[in-house]
Amino acid sequence: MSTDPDYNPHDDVAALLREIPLPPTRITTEHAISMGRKAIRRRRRGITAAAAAAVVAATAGGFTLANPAPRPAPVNLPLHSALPTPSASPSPVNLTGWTVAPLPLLDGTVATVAAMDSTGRYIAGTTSGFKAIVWDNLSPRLLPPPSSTIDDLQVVNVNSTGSVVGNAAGGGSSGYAWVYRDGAATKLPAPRAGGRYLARDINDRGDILGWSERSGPILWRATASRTAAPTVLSNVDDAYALGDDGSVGGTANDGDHPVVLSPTGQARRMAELPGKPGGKVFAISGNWACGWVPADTDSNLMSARWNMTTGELTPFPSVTSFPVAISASGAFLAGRGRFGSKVLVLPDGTIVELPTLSGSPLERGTELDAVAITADGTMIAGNQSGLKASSRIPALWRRSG
Amino acid sequence: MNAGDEREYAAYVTARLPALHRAAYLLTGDAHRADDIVQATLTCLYVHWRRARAADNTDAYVHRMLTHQFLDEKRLAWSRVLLGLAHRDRPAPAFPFEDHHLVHEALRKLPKGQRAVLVLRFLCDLSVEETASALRCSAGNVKSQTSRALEAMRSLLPSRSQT
Repeated sequence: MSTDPDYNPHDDVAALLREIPLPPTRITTEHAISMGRKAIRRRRRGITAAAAAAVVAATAGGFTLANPAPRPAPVNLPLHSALPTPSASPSPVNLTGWTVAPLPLLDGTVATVAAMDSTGRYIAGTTSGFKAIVWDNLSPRLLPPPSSTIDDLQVVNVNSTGSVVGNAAGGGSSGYAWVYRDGAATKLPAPRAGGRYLARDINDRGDILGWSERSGPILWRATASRTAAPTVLSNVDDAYALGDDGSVGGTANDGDHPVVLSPTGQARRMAELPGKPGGKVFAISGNWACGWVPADTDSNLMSARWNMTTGELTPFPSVTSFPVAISASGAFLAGRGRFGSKVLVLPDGTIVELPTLSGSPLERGTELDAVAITADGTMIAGNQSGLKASSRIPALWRRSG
Repeated sequence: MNAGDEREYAAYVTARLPALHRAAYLLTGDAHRADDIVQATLTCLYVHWRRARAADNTDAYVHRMLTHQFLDEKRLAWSRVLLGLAHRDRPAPAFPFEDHHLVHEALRKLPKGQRAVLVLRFLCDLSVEETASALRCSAGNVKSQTSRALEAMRSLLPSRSQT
């Protein structure tokens, strides 16, 4: 999507939305007519929809419907009302605190960084030829593919042992998750319900978080057999982040409440703003989770951070975008910068703009897409992008001093 | 409903079902929930077909019904119970997700309201006013949500011209 302020997004957004592949549907015109006729008969008999539903639920059971399992009641954590300390300056600051350098590339490749492990040793991404690439201490190498037939491949994350997770399609498969570990890339076992399934995160002990179109959030546990189907996370509606201790961050009911699953699988609702329930957890590091909570209206949002021990919520009203990654000290990356670039938000709320590769101020048409930060908050991996594909440069920012 | 009305309804549903299914899937991000709200919408449409057909913009009327089904979780639960259908497996679509996967993942991360605004305005081609009516909010709110949703999508997606 363009960042030009004069750009009309209609056609571009519509095209993007129309290109998303659809799963099969069980709805047909004939069935719609049949259900319509039944509805009219019910109305004529004077049976209320609620009563009819209760009878059906009580007598039939066993429908193959989504999310039928009861969920444990979540626990509300104490709410923290204090806002973050405002930045000393009203504008982004601290251009001098960071340096940046391009990542070395293999001859003839164009690559995009997608992830970095918590130590900064491994950085992972995808090349223009649908191959996975890993920089190990800044030295690049291509990974073997998970299949001999690849129509598309994407890297999602990498952990501190160099294991990489991603998604691929091809060979008749409609989309599957894969993992690179112990020198080989393999397809992850499919969920029992089948269908398309994707990887979303991997932690340092090797647990892999994913999502299945038929089962929702799923988890391949490091302790389970490598051929075992993933566990369905039935007590969270969607999940995006996996902590190194096995905590899972996500949401209840599509943004109605931010939720963290403990390592033992207990759902815990994160604190929410008084009178403005809602939110999602997108990233976890150490004792911190980050995501969004509603802002000035029900549907507008701002970045938020939760202390997972105390449940304390810290909203960031000046950061009206999504956080994408968080360090163990609570600093996070979010899309707040000029022309859509990511910035670093320090624990006290100070916003830090990252420098460009040339050292000159950010210009329209150039975007700094930071995607990952180390646990100690001293390195940030991402890409500097220009208007042409060839101008996309994988980069590593380091804190100086 | 008489036979003529039912033929008209069938023709309309046959023509519009793919678009309704797409809108529902993008709103919910879940194949089962999408089927639930499409089925509930079509059932409601059958019951109120004459009123829908007489509307100035039948598509907008139906999209409003679909959106209400999406936003109203109580109705959603009701429709799930009524849907005692066995799932029929069909060939899965191809899945080239260089852009598609990223767009869908980005959409899933949006709050319901922002996602609904994007789908209704840009996929369903509803006007600001029609979108406001469907979402039971003001036109100003639709505009501000659209702006924020686009900003959020920009932050989550690389520029298309760069890929």
